[in-house]
Amino acid sequence: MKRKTSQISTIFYFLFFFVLSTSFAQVVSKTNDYFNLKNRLKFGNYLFCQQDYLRAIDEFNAVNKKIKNDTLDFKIGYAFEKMRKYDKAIEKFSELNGNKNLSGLSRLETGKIFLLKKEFPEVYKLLIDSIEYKNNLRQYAGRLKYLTYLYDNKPLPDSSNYKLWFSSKVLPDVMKFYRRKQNPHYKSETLSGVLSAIIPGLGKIYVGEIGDGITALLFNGVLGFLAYNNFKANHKFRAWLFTGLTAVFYGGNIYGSVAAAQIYNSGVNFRFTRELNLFSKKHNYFLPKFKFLCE
Amino acid sequence: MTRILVILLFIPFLINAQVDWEKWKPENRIYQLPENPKRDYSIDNSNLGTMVLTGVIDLYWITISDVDGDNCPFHPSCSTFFVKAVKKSNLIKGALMFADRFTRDSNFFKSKHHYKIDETGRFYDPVDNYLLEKNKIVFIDTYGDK
Repeated sequence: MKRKTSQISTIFYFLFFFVLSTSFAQVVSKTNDYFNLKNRLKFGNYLFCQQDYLRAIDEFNAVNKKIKNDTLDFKIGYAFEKMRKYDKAIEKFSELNGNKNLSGLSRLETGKIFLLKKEFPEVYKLLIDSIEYKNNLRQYAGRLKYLTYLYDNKPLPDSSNYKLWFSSKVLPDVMKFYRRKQNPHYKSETLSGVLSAIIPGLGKIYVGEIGDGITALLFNGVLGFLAYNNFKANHKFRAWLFTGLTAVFYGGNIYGSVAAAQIYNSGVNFRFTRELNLFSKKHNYFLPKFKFLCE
Repeated sequence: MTRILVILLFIPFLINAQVDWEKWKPENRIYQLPENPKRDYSIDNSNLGTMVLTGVIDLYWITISDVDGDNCPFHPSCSTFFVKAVKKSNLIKGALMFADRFTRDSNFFKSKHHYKIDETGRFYDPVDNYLLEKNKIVFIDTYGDK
């Protein structure tokens, strides 16, 4: 009997605490506003650092509607930039033009976006008045400007400028790119064509396609020999057929050598830009890194 | 009773262990290259040259290529390259481009390391790269940027 009473009391206590705890939880949820500005900002920052930029923008915009914050505007612009929505990013950064603290930084970021968009004249236009930048930002503006010259097809400025703007740590790498840009290892398209006209396939060998070159030599040699041999044997139809084929393959070999040199040169440019891109990304286009941008 | 249960518990494992033998069977691999995108058998009536050329190429495809198999290591294949080259330039330039492509395809040394392999599993060699127009040259980048 005693045991039964204790079991009932245990069940009673259990139910009592259960009901009490649930009612308490309801009270807490009523008093806690999870969607307050502080929480939304915190959540937005978390999403931003997780590179979930689209949702972070939503949170920042919700906060920005209530309390205007320039840093948040900058972060929204930066998030658009990261999402490669460059026009929206430029628009957002331009809103910060008159801002005391963030005007220079937003202009630098805009310059970077123009560089990514390959709109080089816009970069120069933005960065030409580097005097407008505060002392601490002037060096970033200078670096970005001279980095743009390496991407652009304009004549390169004097190398002393690079020594002036870039630190000794990165200067050797920058100068390597400078020299590669100044003296790219191109192959002459004319020379390639002429070489192939003299000896079929030689132009291809000059470009580095040795197998293709020897094949072209063999093709032309065999077809030429067949034409000659058929003329000698008085097989006129076959002789003219092989002469025609020789002419087409000889012309094709010259044409192909010129095209091969052109492709080789495009490859040089392509590899240069790709390596420069990797280098620039590694150094964040020589722009400052900030903790508030999770960098 | 417990012993019987333990033994019964082992039976599924034993059955699965038998299935494991399948791992050692020879693998059914198809070494055939994936088929080129569908061929356009229509005849181009825009001018006499392209009409004759597309007709001849169609004849080659139906009587030889489709029967012999899709063997060209390049994408687009040599015949398609020829048609595209003529359409994008003219008959003479197209013939020169084809002669060059045919020489490269017949490369006895198989040194095709400078071509990138595209999604069809073939060497990517588009017509645009041979039009002698620098801005049209296309590369497939292994690092992701185009």
